[in-house]
Amino acid sequence: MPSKSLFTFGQVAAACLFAFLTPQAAAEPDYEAMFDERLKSVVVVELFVQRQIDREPVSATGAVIDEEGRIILIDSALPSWFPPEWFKDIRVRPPGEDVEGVPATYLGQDFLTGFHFVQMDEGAENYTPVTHWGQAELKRGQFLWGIAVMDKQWHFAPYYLSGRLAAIEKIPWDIGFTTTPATSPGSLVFDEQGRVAGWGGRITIEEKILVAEDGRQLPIGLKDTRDTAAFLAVDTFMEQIQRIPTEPIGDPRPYLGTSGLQPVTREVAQFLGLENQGAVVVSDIIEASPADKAGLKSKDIIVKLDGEPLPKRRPDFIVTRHFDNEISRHAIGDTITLTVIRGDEEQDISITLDKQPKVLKEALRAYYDELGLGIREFILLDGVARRELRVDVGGVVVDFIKPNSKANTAKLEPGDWIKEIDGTKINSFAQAEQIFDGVASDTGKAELVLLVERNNETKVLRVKLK
Amino acid sequence: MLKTLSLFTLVVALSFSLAEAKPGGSRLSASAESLEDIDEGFQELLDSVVRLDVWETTFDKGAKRTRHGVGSGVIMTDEGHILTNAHVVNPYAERIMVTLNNLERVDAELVGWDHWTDLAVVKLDAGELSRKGLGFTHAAFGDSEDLIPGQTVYAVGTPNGLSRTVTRGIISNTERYFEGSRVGRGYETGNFNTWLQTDAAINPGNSGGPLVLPNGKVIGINTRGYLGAENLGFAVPADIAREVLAGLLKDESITRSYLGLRLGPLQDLENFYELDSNIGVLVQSVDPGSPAEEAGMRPGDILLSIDGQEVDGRFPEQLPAIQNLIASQSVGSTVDLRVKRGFQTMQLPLVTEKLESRIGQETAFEAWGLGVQKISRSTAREGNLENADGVVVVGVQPAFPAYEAGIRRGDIITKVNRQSLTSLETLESIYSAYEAEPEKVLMEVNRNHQVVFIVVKP
Repeated sequence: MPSKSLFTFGQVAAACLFAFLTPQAAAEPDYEAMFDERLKSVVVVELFVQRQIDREPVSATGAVIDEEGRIILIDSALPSWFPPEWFKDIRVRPPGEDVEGVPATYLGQDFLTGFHFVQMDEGAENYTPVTHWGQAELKRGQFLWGIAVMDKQWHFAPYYLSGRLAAIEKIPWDIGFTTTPATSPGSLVFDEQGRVAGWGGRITIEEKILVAEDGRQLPIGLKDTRDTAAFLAVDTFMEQIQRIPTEPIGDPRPYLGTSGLQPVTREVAQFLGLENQGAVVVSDIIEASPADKAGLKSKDIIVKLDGEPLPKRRPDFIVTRHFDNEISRHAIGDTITLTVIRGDEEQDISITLDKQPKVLKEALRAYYDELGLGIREFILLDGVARRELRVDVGGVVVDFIKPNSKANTAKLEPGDWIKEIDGTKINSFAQAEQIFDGVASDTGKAELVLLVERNNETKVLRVKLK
Repeated sequence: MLKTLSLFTLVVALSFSLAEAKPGGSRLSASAESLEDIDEGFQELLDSVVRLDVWETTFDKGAKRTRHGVGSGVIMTDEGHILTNAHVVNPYAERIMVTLNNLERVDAELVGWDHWTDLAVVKLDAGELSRKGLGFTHAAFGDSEDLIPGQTVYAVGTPNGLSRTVTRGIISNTERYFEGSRVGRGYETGNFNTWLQTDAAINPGNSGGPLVLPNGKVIGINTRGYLGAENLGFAVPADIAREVLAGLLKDESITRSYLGLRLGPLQDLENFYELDSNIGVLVQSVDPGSPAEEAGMRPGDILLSIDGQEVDGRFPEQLPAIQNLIASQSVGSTVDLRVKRGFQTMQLPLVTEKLESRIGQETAFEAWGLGVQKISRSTAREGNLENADGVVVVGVQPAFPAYEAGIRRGDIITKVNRQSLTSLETLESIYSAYEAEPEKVLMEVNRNHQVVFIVVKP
């Protein structure tokens, strides 16, 4: 709503004005000039996601990381479960200007951080890499300011925000929090000297209590439309901008073969005789995975990785992310040692990491417009969701159903696991593809009988073709 | 069709658990019909319809709480056995108070219940009756099989707490089908019968009351209605109720057989499977670990006959009878199923198991603020659990030890102090040790298949 946006923008302007009115002993740095210069490191990336029959426009703010015009975007900027070829018509433009922008190419997503990388095809010389501004030394209470970016109808107009450093928490990366929102997601935060302090994270949620007229209280979260009080601390940010994938689908990822890691709380740790350290419980072991081959078991409690006790983190669940990250930092083929508690005994287990099986964006997909049916290869994630804890399940799941199509009329639903087609057991994506291709060309066929599994029960569904 | 189907989800059991509506206003005088039009049997029927006030224990807040509900019932024997709904009275009833048609009140006790048909039997306290010098009359069943749509029927009961309410309508449909659903605490119901549909006004509180002919014969037990709809009421047919009443009087429960088949209507699949018309029913799903799976039955199979008796499951309303045929086999016996798979026909012998509910025994451990339910075989199967060891949390009381330790509704506690919970008694004995001497307890919890360890502190 334009009127609401105006209001918010007005408030921001008022807030800035206040900052200027505050009496300062030393000479005030020239924020106007610093802002204009550093704006050259901030871009807006626009694209659309082409799905089976729909398109979804996406825009995100990013930071320019090198002279070649590479750009980093936060993990939530793009839907990472879609194959990269669905990202179409990528364009990069400067914030605040009503221009078409320049075409760009998707470079991929880093599996460790989830951050996306994009590179502009031309015009990199018009921008300044973020590395140009130097790195701030972060200290609690220091003044920080940042560049925030409006939405599309404002031509992504940039504006100034500021706050003071409230805290830095390892969750599990070093994340800084400002007293008030100091930037927007994917944009930059600086210190008084204009050195980079960090990179804007996801929009933060302010916890509030809603008090009703009758005194009832309801805990709620207030989410800003576009500003954030969280940023990735500059040291970590500078490390992570190095992690550009070698191909759009992403780099091969090391794989342990555990599923459902759960943190151990302080009380449980004490019960197990652990002091001042974290631990994680393994829920499931994927069959024939490195963990399985090495003899790791469900309900083992991992207390050390390569001899190092797992750290304590707050909230408790961050320790599982820390563990995942530490595994992901290893190379495929590396051997790691886990120290686990099983029953009352502690033991070391050496595991050689393998390559991660296919993830969602890598799954093979096909769409049959005549049926209104999109199918997707059955991957490990589908297996875990259905308690088939192995990689070689095979088969296909329904990925998409076009409204009022034949597939829709037959009551197929996304997520249905197609187990048989016309009485033939489906063991692979290729096999299903072949059958559906055949259906598309066979004009005499009247119906298709599918056996699907949904919520652990099977159903016989009939797709009427005529 | 779609619209009707989606409406089915709105069908609700009719027990009434609000505060009693206040009796008020003057008695309405004189019906349109003259007294001579009223059958003598109908007057007797009115005398045998009762109001039930039931106080039952619940555990869903992590503590033992009492809930009060109101329903209807009809006295069916000269010993004072009252037929009502299983969603009105269940084994957790603390007190059952019956209000007779003459407004006298007598306590009653549960004889037995059968949630599968949503029927229960309670018995008037003979001692109290004789002490108070009270008598009663009882009603008799009619044949629900002979009913035809359009026939006049009356519903008698306690809608919204209004005792002794009579409403009139017709039989709208004699074999309405609903897919099996859940009632009360989640007990399965409706798998073995179709329903009489009537437009006689039926409201919450009519539950357990009779649907009768003008001559007073009971042809159904009013059980369900559509919330928000008018004149769509549903009764369990007398032919089913008669059998269940006899079974409950004899054994206090109904024993049924289980094969693990989920059946679906064949409808126009006959051509696909090249079947003779009006034979066979589709096997929609086979329960893992069930006798049917062990015998090698598969989803998509067509069941043709059971012990030589042909089955006809072309339409949904024919399914309950087939399910009832399976259920009525004796437990542990071998039944021969003739099954068609593709172009092949085969004979499969299956040994039946006892049918069990998915809802296990419930209790609350009040010092922990923890309400639990034993995991049943079918919950374990539905939830893809390794086995049926453990209890599912049905409630936690805020600020009590279980809640403080992070246990939440829906969690499955599989082990306590490293002991597997094969029965509720195991947990009960751990709990009594805790009550005697409160100490930290280590619980192993399955939360959506994630293993979580939790320490419950005193």
